[in-house]
Amino acid sequence: MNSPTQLKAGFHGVWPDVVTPVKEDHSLDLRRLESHIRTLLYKGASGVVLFGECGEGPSFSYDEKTQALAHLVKEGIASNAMMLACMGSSVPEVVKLVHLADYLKLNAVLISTPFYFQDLSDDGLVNYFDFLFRQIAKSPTHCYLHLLPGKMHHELPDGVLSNVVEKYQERLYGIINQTGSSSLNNDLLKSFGEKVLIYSCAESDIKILHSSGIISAMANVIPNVVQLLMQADQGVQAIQIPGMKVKSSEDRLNEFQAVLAQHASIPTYKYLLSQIYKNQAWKMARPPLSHLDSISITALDKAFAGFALQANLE
Amino acid sequence: MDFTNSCFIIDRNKMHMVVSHEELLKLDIHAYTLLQNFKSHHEATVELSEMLKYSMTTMNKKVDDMKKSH
Repeated sequence: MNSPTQLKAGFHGVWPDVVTPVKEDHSLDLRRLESHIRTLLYKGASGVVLFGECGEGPSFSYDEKTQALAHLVKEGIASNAMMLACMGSSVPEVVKLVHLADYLKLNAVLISTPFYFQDLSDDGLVNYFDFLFRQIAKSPTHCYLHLLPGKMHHELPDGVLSNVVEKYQERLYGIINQTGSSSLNNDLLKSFGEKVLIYSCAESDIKILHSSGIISAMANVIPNVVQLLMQADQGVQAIQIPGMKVKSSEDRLNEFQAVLAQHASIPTYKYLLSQIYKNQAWKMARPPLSHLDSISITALDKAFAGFALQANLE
Repeated sequence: MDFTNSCFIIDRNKMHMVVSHEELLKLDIHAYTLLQNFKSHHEATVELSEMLKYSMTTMNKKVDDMKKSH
């Protein structure tokens, strides 16, 4: 567990890794994005992460991200309730995104490891972060190091991670583990827990990490369940659903994980939102992703009907 | 965030409707399903009309499929 005395104050509560709605022509659907965020905030989310893994971050250009964030701020979504995932391999592009977050006074930026099409040396990775952090040294926006799955991004070897944390401890508020590896949490806590905050994006790790916050993909659909799971340590009771046997938040989370099992995650979240919001437009994904096929939809419909979501409470 | 001036689309007795925040607070939480939150009444009604359009398209498709299978 992190020792709070030596660490910066990081983010708190549930921050959904929001899916990005697109129209039939695959352009950004700003109205639907705004209403999804409003709905999540109304249901108790502390804020949202935009253009992250679940938000199809790599599929949207800098201009589109600027357009979306400017729209959200203009329409009254609080700047400090938004974090921007800055994915990429081009340092100037990532720096532009960080400066955009500075300009809009966003809560934080998530800096991920670079994409690349061949193995990278430790020196190359260290140089990447040196090059990047030199250019954002004066940025006032909180900065988190965002570890993503190996299939998408370069994994950071321990030596590189130590180097980056040691050098940029002053700039870093924490490390966010979205690799899907629960065992990595323990390693991160052991190695860096006294220097920076460690967060996991796996909802099932909440109990292990005792984190004050989580970036959660599932919270797109069940924000309250994730929130109750976080508050379980503080004695907050499970959701009381009329006509349903009382289940712990952990049970509901496991049930929901079973619903998601074996389907591509982002199109699945979009499909489920199309069911919850009663609008098929939500199903659209931006290429190279595609929406779910009819076999997956049939299986998902059956599993989701069995889950019996209580949209007001969960 | 302040939701005082927000409008909501809810599902009540299998009917979709737009209600203000004030109206929503007066309802029993088990008597409706909250679908979405919008900044204004106008935004909510635009979405509601789209929802209706999509559900009619889906229904027409189902009817066409049934006709074809008979």
